Amino acid sequence: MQVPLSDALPFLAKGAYIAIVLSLLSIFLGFVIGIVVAIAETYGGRVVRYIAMGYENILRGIPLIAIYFILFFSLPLLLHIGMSAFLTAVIGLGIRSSAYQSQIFRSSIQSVDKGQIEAALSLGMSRGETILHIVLPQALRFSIAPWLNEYAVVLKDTSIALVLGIVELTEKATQLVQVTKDPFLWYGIAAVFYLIIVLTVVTIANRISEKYRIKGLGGMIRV
Amino acid sequence: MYEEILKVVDLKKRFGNNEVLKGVSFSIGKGETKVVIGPSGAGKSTMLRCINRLVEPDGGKIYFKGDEITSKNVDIKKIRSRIGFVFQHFNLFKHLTALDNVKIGLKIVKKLSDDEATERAYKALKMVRLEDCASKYPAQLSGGQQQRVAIARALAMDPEIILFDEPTSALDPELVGEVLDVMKELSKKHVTMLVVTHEIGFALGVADEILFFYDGVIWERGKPQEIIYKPKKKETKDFLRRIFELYSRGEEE
Repeated sequence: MQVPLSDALPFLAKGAYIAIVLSLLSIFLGFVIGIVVAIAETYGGRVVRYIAMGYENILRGIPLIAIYFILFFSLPLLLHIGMSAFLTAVIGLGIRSSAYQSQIFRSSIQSVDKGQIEAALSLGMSRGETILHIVLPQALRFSIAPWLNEYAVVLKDTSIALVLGIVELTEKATQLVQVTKDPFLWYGIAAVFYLIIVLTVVTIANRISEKYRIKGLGGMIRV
Repeated sequence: MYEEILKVVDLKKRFGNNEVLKGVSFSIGKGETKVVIGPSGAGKSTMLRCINRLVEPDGGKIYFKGDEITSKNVDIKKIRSRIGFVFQHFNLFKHLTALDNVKIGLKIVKKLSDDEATERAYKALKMVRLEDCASKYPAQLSGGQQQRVAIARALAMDPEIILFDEPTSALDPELVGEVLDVMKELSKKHVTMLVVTHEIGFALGVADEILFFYDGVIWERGKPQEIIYKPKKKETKDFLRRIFELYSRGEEE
């Protein structure tokens, strides 16, 4: 059976929309937790550091699909709290991304040289003020390139949310394939959608990168 | 009238088995410039860092305007905001313009309004003759300019004393002069300064006293003319001879 493109494209676009929303919410959640974990790992006391490192290593060591099953099936049994499939998808993808993002931020934070931290302290700034005004503004700039990489991973892994019953781009394409028996065409178009989304985000990030580039310091890092 | 700004009493610090400071005592009065010289590893930088407690001393006491600042319950942030520090490697904030480097302490620590901070920062940049470079970033400045911005950053806080940790050792030779000129001016304006340096000419010109550090203690001290031209101890003589040889090597050949 044939499906005209005029019907199929809006159908796929809805899936792409779900993928975009899911990926943006997840990467944002991962960003917030990732920064906190990175700061805890770098500046925390022993206990805080070990907790943060444990969190990071556990989440990097478990497949996303297992994280989803634990959140969706095991937690309700243990704690009697249930979440919608969409919320589960965001939290699962978000916390896994936070583990990878914390690695990105940790290495950027550590690449801000210690001399600047001493200079800030010598002016009378607190440790918190130093992190906020001196370390993070530079660390975030260093993080843009590896962070884009992580966004691409998160976007592509939104497709795994189909195990929770979320019909996003890949699942929409699968449905079209089942009707038309033409996997090459529909998965191909889905791939193009993913590519367009990633390139859009890369373009935006490069604009941001250029805007906040520190003048005099090498060229801008294009991705 | 002599007004004491800083008094260091029997300062001690060890890193593992290495006893870096073995009991150092001296004081500085308002408006004085004291210069610390001595071989590498003598504890000069550690001593400076102990004063604003970037390094925690193991023993001894430090008094800042009569108040002991070495006890644990002192708000060291407050004290640091009144003690300027100029680093060997400038340590400017790379993501901020020269102006913002000078402003940031005024805004965040002194809580000045943006207008007030800008005004004071310009004044400080003018004193180091860099008001034209206000909007440049550190990476766009020469080493000498960067160090002058760092001096302006310390000056703008209106400190009671400025500590200099080998401020010209990381500079190309032709840039040393511009930084020393600024420091000489400050000394003439009676900014209280404690300067670790190898610039003997600077010490001769502006120091009220030279402290020769050796093996974790003040080995010899005195007026610049006495220490430089008539040192009493063998170690001081050896050190000065090496410094003079280094600086006059080209002329003799």
